[in-house]
Amino acid sequence: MRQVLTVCPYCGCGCGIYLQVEDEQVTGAMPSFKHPVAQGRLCIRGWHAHELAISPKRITTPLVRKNGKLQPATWGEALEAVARGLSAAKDSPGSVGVLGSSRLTNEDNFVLMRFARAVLGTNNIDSASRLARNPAMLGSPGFMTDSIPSLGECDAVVVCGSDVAEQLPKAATEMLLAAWRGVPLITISPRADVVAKCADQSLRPRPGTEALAVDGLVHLLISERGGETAAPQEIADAVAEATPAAVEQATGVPEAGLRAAAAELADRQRVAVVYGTGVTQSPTAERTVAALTRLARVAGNESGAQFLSPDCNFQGACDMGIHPEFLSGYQPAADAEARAKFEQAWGGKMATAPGSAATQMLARAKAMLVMGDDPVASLVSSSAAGRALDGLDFLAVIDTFMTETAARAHVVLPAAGFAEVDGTFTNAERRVQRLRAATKPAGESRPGWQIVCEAAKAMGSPINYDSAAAIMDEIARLTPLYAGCSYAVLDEGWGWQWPLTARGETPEPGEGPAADAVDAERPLLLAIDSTLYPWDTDIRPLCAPTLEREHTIHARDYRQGFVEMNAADGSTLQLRPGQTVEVVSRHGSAQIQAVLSEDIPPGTVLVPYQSREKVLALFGDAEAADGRLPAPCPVAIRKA
Amino acid sequence: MADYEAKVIAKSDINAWVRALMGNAEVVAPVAAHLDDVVYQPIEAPEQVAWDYENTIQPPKTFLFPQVETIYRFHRNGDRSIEVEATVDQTKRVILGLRCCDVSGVLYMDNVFTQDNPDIYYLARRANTTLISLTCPRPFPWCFCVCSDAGPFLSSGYDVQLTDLGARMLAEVGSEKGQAAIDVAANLFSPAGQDAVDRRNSLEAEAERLFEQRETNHMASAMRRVSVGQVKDELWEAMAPWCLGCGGCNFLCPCCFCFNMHDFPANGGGVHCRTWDSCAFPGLTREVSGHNPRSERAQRVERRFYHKLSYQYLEKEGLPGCVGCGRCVITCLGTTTMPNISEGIRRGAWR
Repeated sequence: MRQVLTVCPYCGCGCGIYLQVEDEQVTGAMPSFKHPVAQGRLCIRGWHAHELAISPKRITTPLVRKNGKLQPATWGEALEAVARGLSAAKDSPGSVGVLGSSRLTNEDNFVLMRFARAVLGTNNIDSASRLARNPAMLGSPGFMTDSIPSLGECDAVVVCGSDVAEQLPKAATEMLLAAWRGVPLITISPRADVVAKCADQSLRPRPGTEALAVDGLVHLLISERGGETAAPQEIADAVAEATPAAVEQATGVPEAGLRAAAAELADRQRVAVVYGTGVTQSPTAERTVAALTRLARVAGNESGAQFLSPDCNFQGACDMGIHPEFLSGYQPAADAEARAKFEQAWGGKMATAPGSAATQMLARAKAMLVMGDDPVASLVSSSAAGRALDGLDFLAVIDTFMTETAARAHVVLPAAGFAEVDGTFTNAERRVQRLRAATKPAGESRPGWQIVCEAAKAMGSPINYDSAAAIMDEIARLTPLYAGCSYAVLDEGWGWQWPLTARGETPEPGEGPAADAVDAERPLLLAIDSTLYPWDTDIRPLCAPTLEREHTIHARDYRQGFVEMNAADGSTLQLRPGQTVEVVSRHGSAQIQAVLSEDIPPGTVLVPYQSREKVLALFGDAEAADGRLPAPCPVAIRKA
Repeated sequence: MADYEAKVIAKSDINAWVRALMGNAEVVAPVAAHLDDVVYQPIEAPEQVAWDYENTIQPPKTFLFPQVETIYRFHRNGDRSIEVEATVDQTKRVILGLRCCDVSGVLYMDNVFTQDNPDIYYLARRANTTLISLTCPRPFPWCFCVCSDAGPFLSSGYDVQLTDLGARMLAEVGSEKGQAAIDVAANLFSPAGQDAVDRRNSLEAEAERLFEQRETNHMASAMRRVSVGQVKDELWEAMAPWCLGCGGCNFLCPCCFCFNMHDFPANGGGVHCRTWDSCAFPGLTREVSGHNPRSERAQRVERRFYHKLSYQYLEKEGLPGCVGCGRCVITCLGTTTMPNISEGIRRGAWR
């Protein structure tokens, strides 16, 4: 029996996990005590990492579609089909597209990026999981500037638009431990989630109005401190109209609550300000992030506001250039000098024509290669993604489990799982850490990067790497951001954090779409909630038996979808819990089951991301090419 | 001390003794993992044993009640008949260097797995396991074994209890198995003189004194209140959001034993396995109909601490369900650790 140290494949915390191995089989998982993030803790997903490692639902052989059905095939046959399918499309650059993923290793993503740009000759490389989580890449290059444990060392913590206990549980631990010690904790989001229930002040603005609630806090902090030195003029000007009365009118946050929250922050020197996908997936993302940045500055935090990146390698996927505009390390694909460096290393030419993000790619491509990504599960319009994939001349998918995307492919190639490979993830705090193979790949599966190399060879442009370590060496040579990184360096300590030398620019907040106001006819505000149930864009918890059982609870037993309403609003309509209701907007209506809850404020109706398809049409033209959620819309609800 | 003679062994002879133990059994001991991590693992050489260690994250219960344990294998033969083979682990094992709190945890589990339905899987492993423990000269930051009389030194329950006297170790023998463990290298041991025994007793007194310097969490007081139903629902509801439902406390607790059964395909057939489960998970009690008697987190938190602290269970299981090892303090994703909860119950208030 031995214990192999690796990294949890679920969220952006990147906790160190020991996988127990007996007779070449993974038989257990437990946290590393001394790991700087885990510190002896794991969440329910991490504690079942071993169940994922031994899941019986793995794809174990190559599959090729024959007579309408995916059938087992040999590697030779499958790779040949991939070469044929992609070659046919590659001569017209807009016709071929590649999707990587925030759940793949850096090595997988880097080799895939090379394949797209140097073999297929296209800058159409992106990730649906990346686009869905943070369409505007707010906060990049380093989404988090501080470390996760440092969240607990600040004088106060403000969290906006993230159910941290579900999305990055160990970060929630830091907040709860700080709150336990008396550090003020303030949450800003419509739902009363776990951290909100532990918080000193929980502000519950109507969906879409978070920016104004934040501005209201800044307004009070400035006026509390008084004098010309309270804040830079441009900040004071930006929040001049966010008086407590105006904020209450527009957001529903009571004046008293806003004042109480501001009072908690008033004398604090260093306030951590963090946000999640509830902010970044919203049409008002830039406005909200600008407001949060102002709050951080006024509250004495030079790091600004920080995005909690939710996937195990969200940071790394962006770092590796899984993005139409960037090579690895955010070197622009349009920069000839940067391209020349890669061309010299790889031989051959890199793509020059600009590439498309995931949604446009799906709309225009004729052939696609998708690795580890699941656009049907991740993108806002799941059905549009499905239709686009069905319309492709050729789709090849490399994955460990049969996702809804993989089920539509012409060829499926089995990828080795996280417990079976060497590789690295870069966690939310920019910490690059080693995965170490605990067992051999199941069935005929192979490491993802190796499959890509074989596909390149089948297309006549071979790519060769001896090992995952060799790929990291090349990453370090070609990517200034990762200079100095190597497996030897990673083995010496607890990984390696790449140094943040410059912050990204906060994009100018535009006007955003004008949201309709509620009225007597449609008195409730309907919004899609992307902060909760992060499990639902990820098939893997359904492949681990205990997590699959718990997922049913997460889905409130209504796996067909549900809306959540405030209990008082529900009883006004005399609704029984779980009753099917009709939800009506000016664009149409939908029938769906209603769950009643005290956690939702009156006047608001929230649809968890997993149930979005049922109600998407109610928002009007919701197929946003930029990956964002539609703006909240007024609805009426009645019994069906 | 009991019927067996206490012995001493020079520290310079310890490795030779361990090598002799390895001749007869798989020896499991704390070993260094990555950097400062220490884990229990079967050793390949005596030098691997990390004698000077804080407690490990994983309790030794994993060798008696594993996280995933194969109960039986099944496969279909060529003639379509099905063969089933029970897989009871009979490996001879020595667990070397475990702390007294963990020995106490094993004694508790012995009661649980012997009562009602004697569990052949646990009992087979237990019968083949020798416990050689190591006393604690001082508490670690998270320890509170004194609250349930589970350490820092024990007077019985171990097979061999080692105490570090400096240049020598005292070996108190507590059973026939322990005597057999000494006898594999009998020439390395000599009878303990009074000075060795006196030194052991003063080390015990010093360790207990160090515990007394700490603030107590009043676990006994919490046990009384839980047992007579004095804990209000509002208190459990106040505590509930501070538990993030990770299950870690159950997995690492030497006295927790909830489990589930899963089948996994293997080798043209399958394996039927017992796997750890947790009362923190709502799915543990959800019934097929969809009804869940513990659907609210407050109910689950109450359940855990009722089982741990109430007199009803102390009477049934014979020993307290908490040995004060402090692993729940280390691993709690929130703040619902035994010390915090006990204090909250005693004060009648949270935070």
